Amino acid sequence: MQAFLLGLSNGTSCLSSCGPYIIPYFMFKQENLKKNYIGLMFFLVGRYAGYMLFAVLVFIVKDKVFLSPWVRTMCLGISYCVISSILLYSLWTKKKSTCLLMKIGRMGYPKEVEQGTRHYLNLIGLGVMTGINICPPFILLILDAINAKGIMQSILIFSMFFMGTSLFFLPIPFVSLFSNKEKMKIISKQIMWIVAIYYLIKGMLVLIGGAL
Amino acid sequence: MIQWLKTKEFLFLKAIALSIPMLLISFVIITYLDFSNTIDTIAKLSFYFLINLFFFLSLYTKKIDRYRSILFILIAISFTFSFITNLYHLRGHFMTLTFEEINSCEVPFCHIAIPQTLLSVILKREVIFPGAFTGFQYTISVMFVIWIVVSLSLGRGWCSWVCFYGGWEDGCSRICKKPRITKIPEKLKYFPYAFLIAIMLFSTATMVPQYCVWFCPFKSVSEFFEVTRPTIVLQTMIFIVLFISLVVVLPILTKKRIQCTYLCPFGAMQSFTNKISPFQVSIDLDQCVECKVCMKACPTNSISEESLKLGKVTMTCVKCGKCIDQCPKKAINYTIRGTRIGNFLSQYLFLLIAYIVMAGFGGTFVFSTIRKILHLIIYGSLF
Repeated sequence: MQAFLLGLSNGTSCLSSCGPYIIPYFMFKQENLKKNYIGLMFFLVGRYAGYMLFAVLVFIVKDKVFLSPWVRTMCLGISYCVISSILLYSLWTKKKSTCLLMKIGRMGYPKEVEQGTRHYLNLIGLGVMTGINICPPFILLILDAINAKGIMQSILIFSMFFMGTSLFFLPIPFVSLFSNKEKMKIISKQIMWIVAIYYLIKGMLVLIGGAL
Repeated sequence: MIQWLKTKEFLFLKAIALSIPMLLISFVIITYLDFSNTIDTIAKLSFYFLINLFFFLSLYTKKIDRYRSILFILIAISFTFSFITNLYHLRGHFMTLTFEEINSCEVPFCHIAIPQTLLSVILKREVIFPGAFTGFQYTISVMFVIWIVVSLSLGRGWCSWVCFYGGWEDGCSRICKKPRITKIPEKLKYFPYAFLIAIMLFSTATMVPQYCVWFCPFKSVSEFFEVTRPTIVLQTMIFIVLFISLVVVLPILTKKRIQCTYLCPFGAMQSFTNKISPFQVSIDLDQCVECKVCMKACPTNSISEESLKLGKVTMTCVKCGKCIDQCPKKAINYTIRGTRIGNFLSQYLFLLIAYIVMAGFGGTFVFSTIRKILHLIIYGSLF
């Protein structure tokens, strides 16, 4: 319950830290509300997977290694670079529908199926990257999980935190309501470029030891 | 009698009569400044004379942009001069801010930081700017109040009448007689909105005003972080490159306000206030001959072929009055929503409000600069 409340109290922080890439992503995709909610579900699945990964790892390692500045910096740098890659990939694939390898890989599936799958895989990827970002409330969770009596308790702690924070993501799909006009399509594409380049530079600077 | 109403004498007397409210209001504005010594009094009266003269000339000659731009450029230069000299006087170092000073929350609040702070105020109830909330003139609360009041009255007119940086670009865009670059990609006009959204999201995520820290070209003419580490070297280089390219070189080559039109996130946000402002720039389709002089003259590309056909300007209009001055058929005018185009009262009210705001907001910088220059001439020091 404590983890759930921690999640609720930090929901706005989670939303504001994920907002810069998840909001432009939904704006850029310009799907309808129903498809956006399905997309959000995939994003949250990815995020939950990231949390579970931590829950298991923390319980197995039983050490404060995850709290060391080096690990935190690496996680942050890698997650930023991967997020940037996913965003750039989305921009690239929307521009150029398929490359030869993808056509071969598709093996007769309709193009829509392939595009939909790619969209949901991107969202899962973004979710996982959010999940492995060690923010201050996450540190409290890790400390709780280290002291957990069993692996189930560790999973429960992370799950409750996940549930508490996920509520704040529910309004995000509504951004598509504002992005269907032709001008907004151009703007949302430009936002995606800005965000992707920002995370790429930021991730690289973090990885090579720069302080932003 | 009707013929006399069209004579120069009558128009002169009419302009004088209409200048009386401005004379009175601007006198009230300058009385809050210090009158304790001769230099201050001369400085104040100089500014008082200047703003009223330009207001009168705008009414008499009906050339709005000509006189506005002189004052606007003067305010920008005065701001930079008074700001930098004040910094030096108070802190003892030139244009740089140390981390101790930033952490002490004494950084004057700048209007360009407003869009970056909005989301964090809504989501986290925190203003992400190292400035005081109350206590002196350029605090967060004072700037927010001024911004709301001016936005409700002038809309994006802020960018041509109030912004103490815009004069730099306005000045540079007037250096060449003809533009050297005329074609600017159409899609670029949407970039400030994308940049605005991205900056708002980044600033809220990191709780740092990202535009101020990384992109503001006007750091080059105000203040910047003390260069103590590689990241700050990079930031300082970005400020200088953006200032030289977007505020100096490109405005000279294009005769457009490039930074205001294609980058400034505050300007993008301010465009939306044009929707609620009672004043707008309208084109009288009965008089318009579609010569497109206004389109070429507009410094922010706010008149497109489509908008011209509809007798409107786009929402990015900064209400500078350049199109009004340039139109050979006098078909463009400031109007109050719902009133007839060409209604003199609309134009007069707009000018009166705009000049009052200019006097109140920019006046302190001009006054401060005149005072320091006089002090320098008489006593050999700025303070």
